[in-house]
Amino acid sequence: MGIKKTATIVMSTLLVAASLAGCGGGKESAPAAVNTENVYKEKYDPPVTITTVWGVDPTLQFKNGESAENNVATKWAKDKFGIDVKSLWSVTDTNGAFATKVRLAMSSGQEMPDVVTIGDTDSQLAQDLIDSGMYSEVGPLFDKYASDTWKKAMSEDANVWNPYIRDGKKMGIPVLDYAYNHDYVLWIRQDWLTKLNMKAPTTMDELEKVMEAFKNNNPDGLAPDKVIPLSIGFKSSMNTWMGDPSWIFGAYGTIPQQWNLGSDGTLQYGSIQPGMKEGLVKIKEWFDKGYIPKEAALWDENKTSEPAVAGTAGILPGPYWMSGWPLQDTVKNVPSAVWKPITIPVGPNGKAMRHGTTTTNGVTLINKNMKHPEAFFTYQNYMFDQLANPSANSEFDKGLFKGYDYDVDSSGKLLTGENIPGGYVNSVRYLLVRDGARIPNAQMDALIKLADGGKAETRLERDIQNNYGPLTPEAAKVLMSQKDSSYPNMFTGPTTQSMKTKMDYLNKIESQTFNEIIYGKSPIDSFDTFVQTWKTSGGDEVTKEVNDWYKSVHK
Amino acid sequence: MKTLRKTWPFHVMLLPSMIFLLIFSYVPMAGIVMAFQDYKPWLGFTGSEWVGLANFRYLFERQDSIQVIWNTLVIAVLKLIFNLFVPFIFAILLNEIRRVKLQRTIQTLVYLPHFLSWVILGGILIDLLATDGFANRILSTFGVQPIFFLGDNDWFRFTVIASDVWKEFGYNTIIFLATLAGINPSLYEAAEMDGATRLKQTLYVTIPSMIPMVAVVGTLALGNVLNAGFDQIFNLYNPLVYAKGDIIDTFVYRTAILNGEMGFGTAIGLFKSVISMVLILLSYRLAYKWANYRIF
Amino acid sequence: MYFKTRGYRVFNVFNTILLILLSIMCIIPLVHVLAISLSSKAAADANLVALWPIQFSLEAYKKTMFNPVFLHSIWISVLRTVIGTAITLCLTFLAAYPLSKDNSVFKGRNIYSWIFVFSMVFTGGLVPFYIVIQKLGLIDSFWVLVLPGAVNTFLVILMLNFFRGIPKELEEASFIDGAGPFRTLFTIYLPISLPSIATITLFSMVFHWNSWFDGLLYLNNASQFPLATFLQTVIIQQDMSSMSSSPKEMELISQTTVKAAQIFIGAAPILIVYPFLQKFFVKGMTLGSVKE
Repeated sequence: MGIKKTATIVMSTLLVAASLAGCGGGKESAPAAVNTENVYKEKYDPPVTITTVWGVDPTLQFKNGESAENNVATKWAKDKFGIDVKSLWSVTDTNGAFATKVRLAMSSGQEMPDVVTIGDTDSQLAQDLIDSGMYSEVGPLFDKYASDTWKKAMSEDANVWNPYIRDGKKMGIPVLDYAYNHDYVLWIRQDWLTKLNMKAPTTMDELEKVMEAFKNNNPDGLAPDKVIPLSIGFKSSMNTWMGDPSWIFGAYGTIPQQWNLGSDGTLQYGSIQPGMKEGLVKIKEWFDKGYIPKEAALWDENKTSEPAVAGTAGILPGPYWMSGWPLQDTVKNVPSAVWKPITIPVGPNGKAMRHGTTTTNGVTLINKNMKHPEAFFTYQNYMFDQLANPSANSEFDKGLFKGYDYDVDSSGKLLTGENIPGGYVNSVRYLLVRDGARIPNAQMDALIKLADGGKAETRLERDIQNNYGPLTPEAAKVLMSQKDSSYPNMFTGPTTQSMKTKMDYLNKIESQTFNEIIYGKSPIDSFDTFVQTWKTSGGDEVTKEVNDWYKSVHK
Repeated sequence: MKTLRKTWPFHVMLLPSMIFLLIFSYVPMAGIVMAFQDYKPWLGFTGSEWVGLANFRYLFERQDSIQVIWNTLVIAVLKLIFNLFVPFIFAILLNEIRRVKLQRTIQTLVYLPHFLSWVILGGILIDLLATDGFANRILSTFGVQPIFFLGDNDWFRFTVIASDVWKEFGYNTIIFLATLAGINPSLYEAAEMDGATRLKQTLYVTIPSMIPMVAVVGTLALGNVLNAGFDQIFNLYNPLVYAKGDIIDTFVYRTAILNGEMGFGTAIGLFKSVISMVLILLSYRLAYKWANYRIF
Repeated sequence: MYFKTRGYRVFNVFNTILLILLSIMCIIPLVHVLAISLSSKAAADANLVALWPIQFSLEAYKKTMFNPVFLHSIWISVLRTVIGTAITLCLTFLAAYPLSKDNSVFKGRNIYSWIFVFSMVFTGGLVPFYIVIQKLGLIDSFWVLVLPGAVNTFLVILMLNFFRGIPKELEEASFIDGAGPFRTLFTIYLPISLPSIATITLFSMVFHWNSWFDGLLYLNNASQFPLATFLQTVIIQQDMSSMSSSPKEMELISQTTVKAAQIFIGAAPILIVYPFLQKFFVKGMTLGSVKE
């Protein structure tokens, strides 16, 4: 190592040490001047720049040597709108890398992006960014620039803004998702039911009879200890998606691990309601009878699908699209297997509950220093008008980008999936806002139309038909027939102060108590002790803060 | 000045390492101040609020604090011990295999599990150790009742430690094999001449020659005395074994990492470092006092 | 000779059997993963595969091999491992020698060794480290993969302890011949330390080959990722609970067979190198052959 080089390194070290103290301050900035003239354009000439950062989905692929920074979507935006989407950086979002990197970028005083979209997994990051004061109020911008289609989509569910309201100001634009996307149905082995000459269960009692028959009188001749009549798992939580057990408690009037609206108009924590105890008693009974997996406490969502795919499980709770994945593979292992979606059974009082879906999956923030916030709306308006749910024969009728998510062969035939030369890539994820644009009710409307025998005519309808699995329309119909049983988590605000310090412990004792009751390591009455502990160990404070928030948004 | 002239080459030899350490270890240590702050990335070290010991207090004030720290210590210390002695004994036994090809094959095979991640192994273990899994089927042929290895508080720690030792012993053996290779052959020749049996040779030549390395590896491992293995526990634990399986790192993950509470994360790191440092110092002094051996 | 005695022969038989059993225990999970990687997706997703492939298929390997990012990441990893290990070896070898001296010979030795140990135990955490990396302009540079971890205290201390095992007479003889510390180190210590150098090399190689977090955080673009980072983004279990999901995406995420294949392809190079390094553990001392 030369002396000069050594000196350089030593010098730079000292510089670093000196600058360490100074950085991370975050430049104080004046809010973007609100222009009175109409700067909004369909196409910008000269082009304008929107900077952004990407948390790239690990499964997202690129073709033709493209990347998150530079691809068919960025070229398209430049040609179409004169908008130069410039990437400051991108990171493959695994192990929370995106959130970490945003925080590190902030800490080291790097340039923050004009527009950033943050998924619900990183909701705390979104709240932090709002708190940082670097991002501007979006309410007026949205009112001024958003297209009618977008505004209409946003108004389908009045609650979508709630998480991002600060002192009555809208600080982030919610990213809309399809309604009921995480609601679920029960998937049942119809071939077993047929052979047993039973009908689909509609009550808890009928469900028990079916499970009993699946196990001890298995139509495929499986030995009782090889059958898992109901595949559910508790490792992550009692309120999840595939293999979800929360509807069992729903039959007794509560959904765990979320805030439900009580009869008195306040929000109540589902896991401490009396219905929980009845549900636990039921699950314990099923566990003892071998209706649910012996290792349920160790099983996460994916694990619960394994016996279903293997053909040894009778019922698997999960989303309406599961005939497209993972259940399509069951017939490869058991050729006679037939899955059917059914409604979730009602409890003793004739009521069923399932956890519902919030119609957002993230938020888009707009930097205070962004010179042309209207450009973002130009881009996004087009997405809502032309991509979200366009009428037949629109620009994106066949798909988003030719040669990426669809192609057309020489005879004019539409190619999808593996038939596309060079393979399918999910190019909708290249767009500035994740998934381009979704109108909450559009998906279900399209599905119901298909289920009722309608033909796929629009882009959305074709997409569902091609990519969502054969039974999905039917399952959607089942799902919607129980629309009134859907109960989303009513608390969507920022994490409250006592949640930060107390909730982890409360969740821990909750899972511990529930699992121990099911496994017979604690008596059922330990539930009452748990409720007491929950309340005194901070649960009451959390409840109060949650309700304060609820009142503040529901004035 | 005379000593300096004689030892200047030594200083020169150490210089490159010192520069690297300064840049990549010591300068960043300035960040330890975060442990005493409610650190907000947009405010930086200078702007974030000072909260004194609040971050530390939070670690100790939870109802399950003692339990979590105790779990961490028990699992980490037992891992430390077994990960030291199993490879040590294995190295000696392997050294006795005289067919070189067989010896190398065994060595290669036992070193393989090190390269499997806990995400993958976790999935395999859940099946392998299920109550009707492979392990229990073997045990039942000996008339043992099925054991719920991963869901029973009495067994969870055993399972964690055993599976960790299984995964790492082959890899950890390498240091000891290198040490064995470094033992002067003339020592054995002399012992042979005296008519010492192989057992005696092992006891009086092999083991004493390896003890310093055991002390070194053991002492350095103390740097991890509060790291019970996040990846492993995170993939194996479940609500049934929180009482014996929840460790500091899983707790920090849930409360700090997921929420971006960098100040709290740093505080825990500092706490662990201080404990480790004290133990390393202690063990260094002990080795010097009893064996007159400077570990480093 | 001791190995001709009856007792030793009995021991040897038991010992051999025991170690072979242990090896089998260690290899079984890998066989399982290999079997999955060679099975059909349906069988793997159903968890039906034990130790033999079901519905044999090379699909998973094809998918991996034809991924251009994957192939490039292997190259980055090789580069990183070779350069990184070379730098670490040089630094370790140089630093360990003076530290292996007695306090009486090298005053100030203690201070140096505590500087090393202290840096191993205490860290400032991710944030200040990132700032340093950024100020040095190493973000998005290849060197960020090899420079920050170049000094590894554990390896230095290991090496200095190996050095202490070398008979002092050799060094003294060299000094009498008029050689300085540098020449002594390279002409006397280097050839005799091959087992320990092989050990350090191996540890350093495995470290570089397996490191993934630095690539993820300090490189701005997935196309420059080393293999381990690339694999980590594929193999880690995705948090699927809160994503906007569709069957198409779920299918991409849960590629059980592809994941299994990638573990193999990922570990293979380092496994292939191992037997070559092994030779040194056995030969070692005899090579430099001490003549006292």
